[in-house]
Amino acid sequence: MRNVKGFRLRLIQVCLGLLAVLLLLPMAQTFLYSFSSMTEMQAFMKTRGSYDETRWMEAHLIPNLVSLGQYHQILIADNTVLWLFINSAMYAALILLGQAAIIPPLAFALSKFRFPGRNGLFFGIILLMLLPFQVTMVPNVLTLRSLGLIDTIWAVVIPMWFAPFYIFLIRQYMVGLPGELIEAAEMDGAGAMSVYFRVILPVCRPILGAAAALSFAESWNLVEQPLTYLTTRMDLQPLSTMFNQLATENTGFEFAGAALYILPALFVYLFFQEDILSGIQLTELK
Amino acid sequence: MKHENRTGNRLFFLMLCGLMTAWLVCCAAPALASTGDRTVLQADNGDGYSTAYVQDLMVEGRKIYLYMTGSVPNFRVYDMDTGETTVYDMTALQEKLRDTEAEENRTEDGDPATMDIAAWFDWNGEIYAILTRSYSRNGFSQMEGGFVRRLVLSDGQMDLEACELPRLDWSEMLEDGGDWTYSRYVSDHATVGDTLALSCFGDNGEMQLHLFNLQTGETEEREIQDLNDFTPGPDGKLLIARYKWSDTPEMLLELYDMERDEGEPFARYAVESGSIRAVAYREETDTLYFIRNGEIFAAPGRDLENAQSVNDCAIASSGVFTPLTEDGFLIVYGYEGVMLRNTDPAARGSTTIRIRPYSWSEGYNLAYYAFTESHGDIGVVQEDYGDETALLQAMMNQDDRVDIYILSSDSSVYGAVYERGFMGDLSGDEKLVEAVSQMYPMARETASRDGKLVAVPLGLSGESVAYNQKAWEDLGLTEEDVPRTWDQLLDLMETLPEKLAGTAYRAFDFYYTQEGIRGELLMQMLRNYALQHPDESFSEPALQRLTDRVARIDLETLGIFTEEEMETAESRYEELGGMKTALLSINSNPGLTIYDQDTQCLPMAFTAEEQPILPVTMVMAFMNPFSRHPAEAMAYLECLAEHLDLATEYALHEELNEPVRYPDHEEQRKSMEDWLATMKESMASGEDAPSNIRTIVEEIEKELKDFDETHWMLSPAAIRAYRDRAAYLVPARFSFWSQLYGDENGEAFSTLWAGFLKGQKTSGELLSFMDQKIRMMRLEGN
Amino acid sequence: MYTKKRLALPFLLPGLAGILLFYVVPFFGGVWYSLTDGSFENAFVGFDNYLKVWQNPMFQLGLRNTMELSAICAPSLFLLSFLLSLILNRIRPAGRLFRSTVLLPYLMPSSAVLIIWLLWFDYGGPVNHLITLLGGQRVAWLQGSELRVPVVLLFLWKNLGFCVIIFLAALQAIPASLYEYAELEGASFGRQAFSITLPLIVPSAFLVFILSFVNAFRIFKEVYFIGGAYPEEPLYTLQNYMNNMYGKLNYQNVTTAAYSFAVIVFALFGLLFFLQHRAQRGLN
Repeated sequence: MRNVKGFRLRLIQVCLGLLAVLLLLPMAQTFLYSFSSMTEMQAFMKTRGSYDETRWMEAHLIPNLVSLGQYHQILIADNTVLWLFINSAMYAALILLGQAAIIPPLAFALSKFRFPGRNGLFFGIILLMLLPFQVTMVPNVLTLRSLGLIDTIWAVVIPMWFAPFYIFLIRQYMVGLPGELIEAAEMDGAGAMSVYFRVILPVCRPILGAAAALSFAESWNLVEQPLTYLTTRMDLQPLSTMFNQLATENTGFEFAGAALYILPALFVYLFFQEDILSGIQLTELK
Repeated sequence: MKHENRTGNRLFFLMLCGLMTAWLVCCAAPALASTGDRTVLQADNGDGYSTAYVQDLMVEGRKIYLYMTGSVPNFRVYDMDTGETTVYDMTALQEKLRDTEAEENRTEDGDPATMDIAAWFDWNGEIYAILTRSYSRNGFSQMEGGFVRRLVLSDGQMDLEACELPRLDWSEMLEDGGDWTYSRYVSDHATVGDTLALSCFGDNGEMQLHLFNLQTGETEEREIQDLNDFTPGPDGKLLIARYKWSDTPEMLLELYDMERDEGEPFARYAVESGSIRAVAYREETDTLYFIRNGEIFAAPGRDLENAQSVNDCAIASSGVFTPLTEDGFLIVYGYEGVMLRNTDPAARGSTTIRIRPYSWSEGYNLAYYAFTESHGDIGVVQEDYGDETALLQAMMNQDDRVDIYILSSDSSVYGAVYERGFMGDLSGDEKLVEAVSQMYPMARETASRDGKLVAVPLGLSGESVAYNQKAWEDLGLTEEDVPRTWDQLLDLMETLPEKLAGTAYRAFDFYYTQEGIRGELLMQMLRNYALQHPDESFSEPALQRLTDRVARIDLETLGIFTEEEMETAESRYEELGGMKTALLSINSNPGLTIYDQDTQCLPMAFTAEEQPILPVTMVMAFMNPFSRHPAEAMAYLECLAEHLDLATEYALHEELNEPVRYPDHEEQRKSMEDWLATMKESMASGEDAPSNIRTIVEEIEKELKDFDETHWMLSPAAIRAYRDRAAYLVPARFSFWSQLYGDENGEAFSTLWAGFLKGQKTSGELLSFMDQKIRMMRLEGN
Repeated sequence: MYTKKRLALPFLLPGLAGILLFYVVPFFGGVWYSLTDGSFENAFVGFDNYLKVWQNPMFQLGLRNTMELSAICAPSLFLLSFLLSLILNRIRPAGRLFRSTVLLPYLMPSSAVLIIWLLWFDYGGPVNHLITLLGGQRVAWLQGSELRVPVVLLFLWKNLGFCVIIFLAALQAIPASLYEYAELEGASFGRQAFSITLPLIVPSAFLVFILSFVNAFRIFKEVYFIGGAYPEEPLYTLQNYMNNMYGKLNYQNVTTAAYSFAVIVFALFGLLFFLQHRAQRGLN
């Protein structure tokens, strides 16, 4: 296969460049608007839905007056958003830690061990992965209640430790690893445990990074679980459940809130970008 | 034989002894098991008409001093050792304070003046009052204050005497109201050492703290943001609770150094699960007491994390205060009563039931006191109101924390709970079955499910259009003219300008705006439509025509102002005939209320053939099916059913028709007669302008003549009118409006609604929006 | 490959226990749930709930809309990402920057950018402005069935990157030597694409397809943020139905609807799986 060169390459690059700008614009605009003053944003957001044939929204990209008012409001004046943010961070951290301990070993067992029922098990995990959240929502509440976890952060955190999607993702990567890796290590007398820690985990770094990033994005965005499992604990809600409410109230600081909301995801992305690009290899289902 | 007889005697004696012991044990058992909790005073009689309120309370030694206001102010002293209350009459003192001629009341310049009690406080074992003095100068009403007097109680009389304390600088407490001065209302007080701390509301609505030095009389005003409550704290500091409003409100607890004006926060608390109120502090044990969600909590070491519930609060109203006694009892008091509560959790009753009200009814408190009197060993926690949807989650979680829920019959939550049968079965409780079986069929139906009793009705109310009976007759309108359909009502409104011209009546009360009347009419009409035509679309031409008619009805010529005009019209209230009696009222309660006026609610229909209705909602109490204390919960429900507030009792029971007087009916008449006598006396002495007094005398005489006729808590006419309309009452099983407003689309609906009332949106747009949403809801089913 | 069963246990057990407790048990618990009458007594009613739910017009509407939205979202996502990845694969080093940008939205919380979306698609917003500049008429994007357009675009914006990455990985895994060999044989570009590229990426394509569907089914979050519990008809999805039923305390209908949907999803995927196998065998 030949690479495209010359003028056609330039043309394609320009088109892709435009598309990239379009894809990034929502984030860029959020950050730009977050530096507008609160009164300006309130006035601007109020005009939504009131335009008729004769008028256009004044869609300026740069704020009229650069102001840190919105940030001051959410970080200093009223720390509600900040608390929600801290809650979100706590959920993300706890979920990721648990997943790191549970999911890779399971994927390892499913890819590099041969035992009866392995394929059935894997197939079951795929089915669970495809299941909508609502299917298990109601019985799950009952399970969590009998475990005494309802209305604690663990009701949200613990079920996420076993999220089938990440098992699938990592297992698919491990299946692709050459068998010689293990055999060589075994030659040196390493047991399964030390093979897992010394050989498998290091070579799986890309997929682990990718899975961590994807899982972070999911944890950062939890909506249904906290709303269903933490109904009486509004103080434990993460930013994701409360954000929409904050945003629709025309508070004037919705963009700074959104920027704050986006920022960690952005950092995680930048950090794990290479891993995602190289790690996600969904080989054939077998 | 003899021997046997002796044995028999002995047996008999033994049995007698056994019986005696058993009897003694039975008698003593409640005393042994006693929690020490006591009701000192119950001021609220539950019918919404109280004659006495607890205005202030102080504790000195083993005595509780209560200052009662109401129709007969007095002072009560409760002895905690004997449990006896002595009442001290205030009439003489009041006369003394009111006597403009009295030398001690006069100002320094010798102006005649009257005195008022502005606040009470306790200091070094004595009770003191702070007085203000009112006098008039150059036609302006003036006030000065800060006079401290010591309380003297003797021979059933209370008196105030001069004392060694200096006059307090009251200038900061006085407010200039233009041509008159007034003293701020003191809401709470605490004495720490020689400092008296008083709180009152400032102009900005914020609570202010005023500190008085009792030795020098000097004062200082302190601005403490979000001040909510305060109590004497450790080391001569003030323990302060501040309530921070925000999306996630929280309480801040601080130790406030009064000398340095510095607060040192020691705890913060998210208000989500019930606000902390009424803090109290015990220095010997460094324990903080507070009330949250109907329970008393103790936090040793002022550590909120380790706060433990020690007793129930026993007073349902939110405005409570909690001084401590020396032996560790908490005195909980609000306007409705005073309770002594033990703070030792070991002494607490074995069972505690929890009640969570989402809707209010007058009868709660009555039942509450009655129950705690009869079931002393069962604690009752009345929780704060909260978000209804939490109830659904609680049911799903099979939550057994709350035993009784109280909800409005039209809330969607009640609908869901009822539909799914998440209500404890009460059919086994004969008393309850009996009580509910005597109610109107509509109440019985709302309370039953599949032939089982599942709830107890506690209240009934609604909103409807009504007319004033007297005005109706005076305007020459007859029974025939009473509108039965919406069209007829609108027809009537169109003829009103003509009918009302030159009469003493106006169409609606002055303060109703055009937008308000249109909106309210439309709401009631659409609500009725949803109830009467559940399967029909809102976009039916007939309804659309009616909606347009309401939108177009000429309210201008009826002398109703728009919201905009009202701003300027208000100042011309009298000139514009604002005091005229209104013929129509737009939101009268078709239920039964005390103080009922001469109004007739209008059952409405859409066509002449259709049965007209008056929608009402009912307050329902039901048992959590997961409750761990079903027997106690049912006993409590029995108590609720037995102690309905007066109006509800009459509203639910057809056979109750005896009219009811105000409890102080005789006193009221007597005071009127006394007044008449004084007036006549002064007329005879001829001191004042006689013509002026004569009209007053005539007015009093006229009122006295009809006094027995017109002064009713529930008048025969009101009861009769209610019985007449009872056949039209329909309990609503869903609230159309909360459904339309209640979710993410609520914003869109309220914009549309406002747009329609302003004429920017058509009835078609409005109705089709409602149609879509309501239809979706109905199609989804339950 | 390890074959001793005992060795696998320490790796397997913690995870399996959790899956059992939080996924499998609730799954079967839910089956039982959907067969009871949902009242407090919870009597067994067989398939009554299924009959009732399937006959409910709002369930039907929700199911239809969910299927329609997925049928729009998933294939367009599939095609778009395939196309993009083909292009990116051919300009390999030059497309690096783009590759990173396209993935970014996948990690972004969609509710955070929703306000921007609502601004863009406002009646007086930039999208309509652009349309009129190109000579078109303004469209009321936030009403009626037009509302689907912003929703679908939001979905594409968010999910494009992930699918591109999967495709790209598959494309890059194809050894260049295969193409070189084919070229030596004189095979045309089309022939190369058909007999080399396609068979080798079918497994990945299948996964992308399934993932796009799974994500399309989850589009509800965005819909809910825009339209609330009762959005206009074209946007009322199955999740609206389930959520509203949950609000009405009708857990039986929630689970019944969820299982009905799960059955359809599994049937669909089963069919796809079967087709994929057939296709792959055919291509080989």
